Amino acid sequence: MCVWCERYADGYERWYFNPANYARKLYKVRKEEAEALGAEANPQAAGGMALLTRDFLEAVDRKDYEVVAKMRQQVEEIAWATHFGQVVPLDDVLRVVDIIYPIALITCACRRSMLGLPNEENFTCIGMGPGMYKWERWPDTYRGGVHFLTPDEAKEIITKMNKRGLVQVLFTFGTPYIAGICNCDYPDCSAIRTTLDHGIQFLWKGHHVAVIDNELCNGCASCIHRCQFKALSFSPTQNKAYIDLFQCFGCGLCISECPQDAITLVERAKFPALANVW
Amino acid sequence: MSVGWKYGKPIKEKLMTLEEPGKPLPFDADKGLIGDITARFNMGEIVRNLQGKDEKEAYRVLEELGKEVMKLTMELADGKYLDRTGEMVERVARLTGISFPHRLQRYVELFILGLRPTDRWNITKSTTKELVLQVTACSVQKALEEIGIKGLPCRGFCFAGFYVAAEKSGDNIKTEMPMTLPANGRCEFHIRV
Repeated sequence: MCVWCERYADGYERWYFNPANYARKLYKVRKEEAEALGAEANPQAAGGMALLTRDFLEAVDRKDYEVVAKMRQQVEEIAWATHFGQVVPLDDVLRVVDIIYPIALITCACRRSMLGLPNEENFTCIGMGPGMYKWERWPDTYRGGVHFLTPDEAKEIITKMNKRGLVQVLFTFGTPYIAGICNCDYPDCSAIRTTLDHGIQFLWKGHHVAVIDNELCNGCASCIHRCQFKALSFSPTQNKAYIDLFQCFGCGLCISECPQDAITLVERAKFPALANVW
Repeated sequence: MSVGWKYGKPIKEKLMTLEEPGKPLPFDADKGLIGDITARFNMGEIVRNLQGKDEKEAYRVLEELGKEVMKLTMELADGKYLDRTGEMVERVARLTGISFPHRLQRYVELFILGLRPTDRWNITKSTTKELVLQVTACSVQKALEEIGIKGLPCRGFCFAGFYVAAEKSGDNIKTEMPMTLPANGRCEFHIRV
């Protein structure tokens, strides 16, 4: 069980199955003055990966490990309170779609900034919950517009993205309020990049790890390119795929590519050494 | 039927874009709505007039009041004080064919804010099957307690309001109240379709 389940599952199997983490009021009373920063600000723009500044990279460059550790902790504390993600396998995401409403297909902020993708090629992100009714409040975030979807339409689109090789990640917008299903890959996704490249945990591992049955693996290596987390490699000695379980985020993308059905998702908690590796 | 989405591309027939870029839009509840409702209904006076009445009679009076307050709330929320959140809730419901929970939730929230803007409450579940409302501090319940009326007849006020709103939103609802003030520390309403 991850710390988010300990805090916010409230009897549900996982914290992201708890409908309370998707519920929010539609209204508050209008203020006369302009909306201030903070809770009313756009959390996507105000927090998250924008917290990682040049100072951090310069401290890494000059090997000032004390400063690096301090800044890493500061950034993670803010991110975990405002805007972070957890990797979730497809089956779980499809269950989540049944407890959220409304659901909207929107453009991806990461691909916009990392790849400079124009809006008309960038509709790969899902926003959800009552906040989506107010999308016009943050036109910079919802560039290109939005499409409101039925749950079945959302499931179809998410499944397509999964098949294409994108990892599903649930993102908080003021923890524990979950309001985004991101469809991520490396190096487009700034959360994967900051987590893997800079060791700052914007992204939490999922509740599973992928395990290979060596009896079934025929060494075709077709799964290797599916891993966005550098957990999968090919062992020429064994002529088998190899998964570093400490590096595996449990997305399950490798499973759908295996022609031998040699890979399965297993609960992280079943491995004592991994139970606290998030 | 397939939504016909191609990777990364917009779905032309579903795409919603900014209608008037740069124009500020009112998303929150208008203070005018509170002003109009509190000017029409003096809750303090209504509760004081209940003094000496039994629980059943108080329930009946509050039930009628709940209906009237909700009717006025909806009239103002969809007319004089229509806000952008409300417009978008209606638009999305038409697009997806899904009415519940937010068309009803919108009226329920404004029903509380309109007459009891200082009450403490929260929405703790809001799925297409169930809406859960928790009220932790209620000025009506407190006022009834102060004049010695027991048994929470004000539930009639809330229930009547919800059913009037559900009639308008077209939701066939069933409502339960597993927790009540003051015994459980909150009134909790489970509204299901």
